[in-house]
Amino acid sequence: MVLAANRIMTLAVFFLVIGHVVATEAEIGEVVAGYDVAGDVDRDVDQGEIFYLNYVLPKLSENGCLKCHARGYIRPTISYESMFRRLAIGDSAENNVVIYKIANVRSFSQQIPNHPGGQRCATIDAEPCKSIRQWWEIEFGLHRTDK
Amino acid sequence: MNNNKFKTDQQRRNLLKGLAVATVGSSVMPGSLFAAGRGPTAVVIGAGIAGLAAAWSLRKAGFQVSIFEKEKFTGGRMVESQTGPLYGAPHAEGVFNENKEMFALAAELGIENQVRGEAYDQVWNPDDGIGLDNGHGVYYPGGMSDFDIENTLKIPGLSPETIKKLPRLQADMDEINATVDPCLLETGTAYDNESVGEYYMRMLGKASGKEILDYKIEQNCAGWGWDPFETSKVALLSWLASKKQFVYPRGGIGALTHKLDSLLPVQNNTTVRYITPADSKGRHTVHYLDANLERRSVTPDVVVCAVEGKYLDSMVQGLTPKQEALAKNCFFTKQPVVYWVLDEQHASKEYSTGAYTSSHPDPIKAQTYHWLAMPGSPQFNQPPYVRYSLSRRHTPAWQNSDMAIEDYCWPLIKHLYPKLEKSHVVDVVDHTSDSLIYIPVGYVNQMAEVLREQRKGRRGFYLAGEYVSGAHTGAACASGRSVARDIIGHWI
Repeated sequence: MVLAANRIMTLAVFFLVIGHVVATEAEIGEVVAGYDVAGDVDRDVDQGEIFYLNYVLPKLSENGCLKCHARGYIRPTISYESMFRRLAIGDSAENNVVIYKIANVRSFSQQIPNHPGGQRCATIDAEPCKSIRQWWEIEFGLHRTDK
Repeated sequence: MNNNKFKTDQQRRNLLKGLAVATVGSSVMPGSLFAAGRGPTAVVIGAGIAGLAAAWSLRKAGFQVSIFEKEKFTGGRMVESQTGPLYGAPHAEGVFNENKEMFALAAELGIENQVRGEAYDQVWNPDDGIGLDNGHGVYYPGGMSDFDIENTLKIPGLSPETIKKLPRLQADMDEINATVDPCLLETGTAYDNESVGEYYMRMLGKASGKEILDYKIEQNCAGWGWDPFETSKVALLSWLASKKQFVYPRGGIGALTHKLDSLLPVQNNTTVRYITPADSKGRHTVHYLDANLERRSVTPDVVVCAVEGKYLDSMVQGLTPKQEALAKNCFFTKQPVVYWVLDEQHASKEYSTGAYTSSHPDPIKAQTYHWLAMPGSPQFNQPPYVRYSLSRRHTPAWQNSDMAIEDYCWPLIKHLYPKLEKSHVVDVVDHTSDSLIYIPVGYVNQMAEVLREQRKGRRGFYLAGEYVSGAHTGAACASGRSVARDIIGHWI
């Protein structure tokens, strides 16, 4: 009897807790699902990530970025995922957070560079900006139907 | 890349959040707060204190709110986190007692006691033995929000002329204190007409102005990362005039944001890519990456953009001319800081420190804002370390050196703390980061114009955050609550 009562209590607590969780999850989900969610397409992992690892990362290394960012304490770290999230902020190969930072495109004054590590691209066409712009085209360019 | 890990983290996080909401929601929260399917929809972008404060107010008013946060943690700078081996705050350390909106929010949540704390005058604190050395002697120039003339007169090396002129500043301080809220700088547009440096030079003359800037004002500006000759005087003087204490919250700097995170539906690891201009119904579409890096979009009734101002220009399409002008003027200060983590065997036995003015006659001390050697603190999960902050004036020299910050600063810290050896160092943490927003002359007027424009009537896109209020967590919080009041007024 004691065992059965304990089991009933356990089940009651389980359903109470899980019931709340499910309801809350549903509510949270509904907030987003209730909107016009669209464009839910798998990203092109192979092309973008392979290009980043084979072309962009070596250029970041050659241009001194890894002196600070490789340690893993400074955001963004140089992992694909971390850099990809910054690349995604913006709407073109020349208008995204990675390019702005690394090319030091916007700056309060010449004496106070926008990027703590200073200017890493001599021009927007020089490395590593050149490879980063190509990477953006692969990830988000016109050829992508889910751009 | 392992997407399963992100999915698992997200699922675990949602489960924990669900449990927290289920537990807290039934006892503390108004029953209607989490009711779905009622009220306008809102997406708040950014889960720093500005976004969380706005989301909380909107939720209470009946909006269905979703919050997108690109980081895996919630709270922005107002949160404790682990940076490598160090546990601490990403930026904010304490709060000012002037933060009325922040304490009002904390009171609503029942945690005011956690957000209040013991007075601690940041950096320059005689109780901790942290004095400032200007080459004439060591002194305590006062706190981050304090320009006490009596205390300033005690600075060693001041000329008799400066001592005579200093009291003439009091009338301005009194006037600014009476009229400007440092958490909502739009109240100070009348004083946004010259830089901090120009003000002291005008009021005290060139020689005395330079003394006060070198011995007192530079140190306050450095706390924000500002150049006195670039910064609008109202940005700093509104704090100096308020003489409000700086406190370490009893519950930690993240007490408020942790609480809000437990009560609100924050979607972490969610990066907003861009926001489109308004459609024919005045609604904006938010394009984003979810936690699994999948591309999604959402078109709510209201978008609240509570991101760091530096992202505005890249992220938002179709800004109004006033918003665009503000966005192009949003820049963040840099604070170069490096920690050398030591092995236990060679840990400093006691706390030792030094801080210097940029005009110090010793060229190495002149490059140093502050250094510190700390024994380990197991209760704070901190290993022993030596910390070095480079002077703001000398930061460009490092940036142009093409050296890692730890290599650039090594000879400087060796000069100041000769016991440090590379063989004792077990790890190096570069804590250099974007810090707070610059407030150059004219910026306060720009932010006031943007706010006037967005208050005119119902719209689908609102700006909130320190970039439209002032450079501090208290200002960010006040902005979130103030903008939420505007939105509620327009929509409910």
